[in-house]
Amino acid sequence: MRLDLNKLRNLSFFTAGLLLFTACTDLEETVIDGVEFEVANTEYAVSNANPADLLASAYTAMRGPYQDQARLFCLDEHSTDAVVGPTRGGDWDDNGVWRQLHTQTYAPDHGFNRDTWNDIFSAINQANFVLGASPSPQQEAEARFLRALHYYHVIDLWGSAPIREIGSDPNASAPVLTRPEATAWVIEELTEILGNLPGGNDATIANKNAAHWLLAKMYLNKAVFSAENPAGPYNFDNGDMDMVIQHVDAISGVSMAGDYWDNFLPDNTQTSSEIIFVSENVGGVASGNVRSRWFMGQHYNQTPSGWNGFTTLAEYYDKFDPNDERILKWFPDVTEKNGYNVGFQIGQQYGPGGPGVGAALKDRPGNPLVFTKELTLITGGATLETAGIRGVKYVPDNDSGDNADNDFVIARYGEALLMKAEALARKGDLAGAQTIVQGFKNESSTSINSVDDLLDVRARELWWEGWRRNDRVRFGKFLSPVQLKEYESDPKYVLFPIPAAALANPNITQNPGY
Amino acid sequence: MRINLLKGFLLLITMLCSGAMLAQTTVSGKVDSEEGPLPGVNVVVKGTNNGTATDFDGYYSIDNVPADAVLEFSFVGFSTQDVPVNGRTTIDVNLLADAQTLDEVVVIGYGTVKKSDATGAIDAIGAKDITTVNAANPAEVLRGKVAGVQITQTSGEPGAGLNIRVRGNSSIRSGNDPLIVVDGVPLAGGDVSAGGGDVNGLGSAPPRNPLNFINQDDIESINVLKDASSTAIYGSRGANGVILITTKKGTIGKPQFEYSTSMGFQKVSNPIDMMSSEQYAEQASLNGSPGLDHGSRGYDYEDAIFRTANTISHDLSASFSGDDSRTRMSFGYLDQEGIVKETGMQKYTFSLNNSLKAFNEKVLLETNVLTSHIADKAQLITGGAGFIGNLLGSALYWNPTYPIFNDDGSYFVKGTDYLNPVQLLNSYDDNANTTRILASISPTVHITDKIDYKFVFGVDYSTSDRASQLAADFPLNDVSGGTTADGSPAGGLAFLFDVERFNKTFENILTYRNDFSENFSLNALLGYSFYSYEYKSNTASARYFNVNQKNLVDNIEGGKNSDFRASSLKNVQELQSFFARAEMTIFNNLLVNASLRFDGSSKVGENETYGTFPAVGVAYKIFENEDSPVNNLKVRGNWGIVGNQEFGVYSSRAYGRYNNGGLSQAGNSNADLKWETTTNYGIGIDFRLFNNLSGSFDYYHRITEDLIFPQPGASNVPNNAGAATFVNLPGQLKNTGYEISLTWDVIRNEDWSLSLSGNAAFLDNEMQDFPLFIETGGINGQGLTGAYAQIIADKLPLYTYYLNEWRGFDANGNSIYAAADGSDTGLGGASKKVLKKSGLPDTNVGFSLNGNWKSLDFSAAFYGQFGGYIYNNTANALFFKGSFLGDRNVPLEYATANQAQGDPNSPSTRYLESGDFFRFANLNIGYTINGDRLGNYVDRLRFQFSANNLFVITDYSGFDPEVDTNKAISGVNSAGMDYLAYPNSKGFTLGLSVGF
Repeated sequence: MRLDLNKLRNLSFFTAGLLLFTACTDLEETVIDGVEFEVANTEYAVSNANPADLLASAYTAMRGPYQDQARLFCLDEHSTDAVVGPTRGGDWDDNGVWRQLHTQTYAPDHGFNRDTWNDIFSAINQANFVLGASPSPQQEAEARFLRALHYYHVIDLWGSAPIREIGSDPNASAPVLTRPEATAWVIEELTEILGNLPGGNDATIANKNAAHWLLAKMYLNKAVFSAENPAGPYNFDNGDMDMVIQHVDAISGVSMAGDYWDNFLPDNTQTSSEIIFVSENVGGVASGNVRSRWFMGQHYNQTPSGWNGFTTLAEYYDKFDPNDERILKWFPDVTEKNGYNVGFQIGQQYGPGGPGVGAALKDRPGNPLVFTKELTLITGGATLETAGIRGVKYVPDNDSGDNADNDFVIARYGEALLMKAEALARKGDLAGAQTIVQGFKNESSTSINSVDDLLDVRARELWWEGWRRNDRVRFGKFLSPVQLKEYESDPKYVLFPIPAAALANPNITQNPGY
Repeated sequence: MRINLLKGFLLLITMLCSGAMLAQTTVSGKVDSEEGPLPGVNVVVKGTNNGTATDFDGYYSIDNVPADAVLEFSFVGFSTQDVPVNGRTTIDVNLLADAQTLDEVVVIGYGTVKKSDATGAIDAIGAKDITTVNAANPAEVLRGKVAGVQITQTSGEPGAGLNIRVRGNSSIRSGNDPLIVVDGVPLAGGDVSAGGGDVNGLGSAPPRNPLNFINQDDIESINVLKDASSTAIYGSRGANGVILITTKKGTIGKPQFEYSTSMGFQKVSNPIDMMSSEQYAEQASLNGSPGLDHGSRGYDYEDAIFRTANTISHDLSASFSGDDSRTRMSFGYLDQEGIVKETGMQKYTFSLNNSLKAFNEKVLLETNVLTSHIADKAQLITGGAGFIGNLLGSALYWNPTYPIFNDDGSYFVKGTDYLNPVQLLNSYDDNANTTRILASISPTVHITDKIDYKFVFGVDYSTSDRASQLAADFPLNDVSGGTTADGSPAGGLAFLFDVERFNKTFENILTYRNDFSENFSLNALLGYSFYSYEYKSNTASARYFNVNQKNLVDNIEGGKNSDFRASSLKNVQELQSFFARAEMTIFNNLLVNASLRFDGSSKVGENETYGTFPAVGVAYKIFENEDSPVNNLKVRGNWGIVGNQEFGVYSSRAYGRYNNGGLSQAGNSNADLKWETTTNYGIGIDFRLFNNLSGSFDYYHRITEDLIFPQPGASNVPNNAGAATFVNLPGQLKNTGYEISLTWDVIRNEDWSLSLSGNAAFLDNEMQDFPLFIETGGINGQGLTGAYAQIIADKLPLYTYYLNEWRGFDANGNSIYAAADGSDTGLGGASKKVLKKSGLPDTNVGFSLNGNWKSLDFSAAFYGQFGGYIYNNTANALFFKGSFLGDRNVPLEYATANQAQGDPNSPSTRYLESGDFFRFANLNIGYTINGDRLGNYVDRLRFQFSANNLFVITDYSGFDPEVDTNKAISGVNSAGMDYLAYPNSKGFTLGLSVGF
């Protein structure tokens, strides 16, 4: 074998090339278009992110689950006598998801049950990142409040709660607390952070009032959340009721709004004196789907063109005096631009300008647009599009396009006062409860002769605000027959099923019966 | 394992040092057959990679031939001949026609092998098969030709994506597309062209075909590696099979030029039969709603949006050689109109191939450059449209008794959720331009005659920008009727999207070949690779333009400030691999192929950076070239583990992204995230009987484990993609199947040849020990929010349908469904059932005929799919009585159906149809005139007529049963869904090519 110098030279050239490109890489993946969280071996121990930025996102993460009509709202209201999503021919069948909620026949593949679970846990996760990023004491308290609020819904809807503590092994399946354990944990969390939350009444951030309100909510429901059988019976403890009263009494600086509708105006948080905590929207810029609260029921031919979807039920509507301002209010501006009243809409509907000025509207086939009490789960015939009483819970913001300005109300003082009234009543002080109730407009002549009388008061004052399911469960009525569900449901439906996909965590067991 | 590998390396290095050099020379000559000179014959120095091919006149020249070497001449349809060189420099050979397809040389990963020596399941498609199929896309050539490869067109739009599935689906979420390797450069997965934005509920643009950038005329061969022993050399990217594309190279001899041109005409195939205006008016009155007849006559949806589309192509190639170099250049132009008006694709391609020998022929430098520029023009025909529909939807539902134009020539506007299809067609513009360069340079150094070192550096750069707009005066819900900042009427949408990808490939390959003795030869390979894939994209969108503004996309700042949106992202992935392979031939009839690859990726968890992918293939030739009823018989067995690299970037990282000021969590970390792996084993037989019947049979068994999925529901871990922890799920996806292919040479003589080929593939899959119940197959349309048709769950095949069972209408016209106990019930009591029906076909067949009579050649191809079911979402969303009585058009049978107006179109088996079909896909007739009759300058003249999609036999009621609209839910793809997809076409093409 003869050595060729040329060959050797070429060889060395290519060997150099080989070495050049063989310099091994460590394959470290770099997040270029985001912020890589420097997590050690403990989840959420984020050392390189600004906690204020993470906290801002923890607040905006609430918009989805709290404001969208197909998240908490549909689980909490459609499953009761307050709301139904009737199927209208080719409209609103949606493979039965709305009917299943109202008829209490939901199963683990229910899409909005799954989406609500996902959105709530997404919001929890965002709050956890704040906690891992060395927040200030106040930032930490705010994030823990948000997390506690989300877990209230987890406990309320699904019972047991998977909770991954800061610093736990990130790759282990999250441990699961039973419903009573999770309840105790949320109360403990809230009690711990109370001192570090800001005072005052800026309802767009977690504050002391909000924590007192949520503590009252937890104590009020503690009997439900710790019952051996989720469907009851529930043994309300006087000590818990005292805690409800104590925390409602600790709420300061807020008062009942002069006008019920101040709470739901486009600038509600600035106008109303009553609001404790909201999911904030920035008009024209960034909002959750609060506008669904006026789009979802409005007919296509109303202004703006709605979705012709959800209605309330006659038996719920009949709990009110038809002239109760809480369900019948004409705002001149809304009448002019939209042509309708806010609250519940029944009878002939009109175009912009309202009755006497705007056109008497027709539905798409040409029948008069008359919203009726008569309603079937699957509508048909001439009232296919018109059956059912519609609701407008928030005063339409006609100036902000898709991004309505109305902040979404999570907690308001009126609701807290009704919790206190209920706590008094459950302790036997019906007179004290009645005094509180009669302080509400349109309830001045309501008498409270039993605890159960408070359920209708809450139905009226808090219609479509997301409390109906929780209230009916606590009063032992959730499974009872309601209009368009004329039977007692199987007790398993008092809890929603754990979404099918969530069972990948082996620590989670499906709720009994599903 | 590591220690064994080390030993292997040491052994290899010992072998490398034992090579010796012998005198080498250049051999040239001519290859003839009974029919004259044979172009394209493979000439290889036996036992090496040193080879060439004969030119148009049958001449070849091959360098570096040791005096004692054996030259092997092989060509499809002819017996391979081995000729000892014995010191000669000129060797002329006469090949005998033989259809000896088993002796084809097939391309495998990092090398070639004689098909008769292959241990795995490999299929090859040669240039001849490629040019006879009139396809805009190279992948279509494989359709029906290769057992176990299923090609499904997701859309009939020019350049639209194809689903290529090799032996079924091996993943739920990580992609099922095979790895594509072009001239030794593995391409990154994913789409290079910019997709479209979701236009307010009208859906977004579907992906484009990743192979669009290749000109079909530049392809020499396409090889498909199906089994793990062949694909495991690509390790973490081998789970879905590998498609190797080899482009044409320059020929030796006198310069050659070829010009070819074609012109084609296409029209829509199998249009859905909607009611005419007269029928609509009649049905309206029969249904007691004469008011639905609005008086206009003559609307026909096919005329409104479809056309006869023309396709024109020009291709010019030049091939020439010098003493030490061979070069081929080509230029291609294709202008393909879509059958939907205002759609189409213009494609320009340029390719350059050069091979250069230098430094005393010790170095071979190969250069490949493929460039393309594609201009796509699209319409709003998309998969995700809601109630309003897309262009196709609105054309279908438009009440044919409405006029399209008012008397004054303006568009007749029905409403903002009821679109005038012609107005939509003319109000929407969508143009995308994609430029791509795939260039590689690869020096090979012949270190000794037994050892080669090859270095490949490849660059794949693409840039794509898409600009789409909906005119400012177009009436559409949530888009029109707005105001500009100063209160002028405003509307319209504009969307800009650009994508840039820059991928680099570095491969270092050391090969060693030695025929130690008659009874043992070894071909070994050692390699190191590094890949870097960079992706960048920007989008901008705006709404509410002054209605007087016509051009929105080039003046997007006309949109309303508050309705601007922009987004951008960028990421880089890296992959690093070490691999080794040994191919051994023992006693001439026992073939053993063992390979091992270590792949490291930046995407998997920190603790699992490297994956190990071993494979072994063994083949035993029981008979070889015997003069008996059984000419050849080879049994093969293979086993291997391969991975799947097509999952998202940052899947194992905790990170956040700023969004509107705040920092939002976008991903959780999982340091233990590992590759999805597929363990395969298979057996196969290759045979040839009676000198004219050859074929193969394969059985395979594949288990995919560690499926990657966003961790659902463990606390703090949301399920929505993009902000989840990705984990490896327990449970497996099992695929088993068998494949048969047969080729029968019916006749072969001086004037006549005729061969028939057929293949069939049967596939079963099932989830095993799988903990989840995953929904997919989302159904779109009004009243169908959140509805889905398919599930992935334990003990079920992928994409099993889960629907209400529909049983007809009751006396009142309300649908009857099956209740949980099996009794009849109304919609309220209906109970969904897991059906024994899946969106995937279980049987694929292909059949083709090839032949010639003197200078006339002909071929025909048929294929079919059976056993799969299609969910007709188009019918579900648009076709029911309530839709008709709601002022929309439907096919006649839905208008006459005994359905009540208020009976909802709830998803059910009413819309589930068999997807079985059998298609006459292709007919080609060509006539070739050779040099002798054409004078001095023209060597060859060929005329070709080809027709595509001549007929399809099916019961399916939609446009075409070969459809797959991706209706993914949370990133889990569906199969067999049909929703307003761009319809397929049929037509014919005339072609002419001239060789100089």
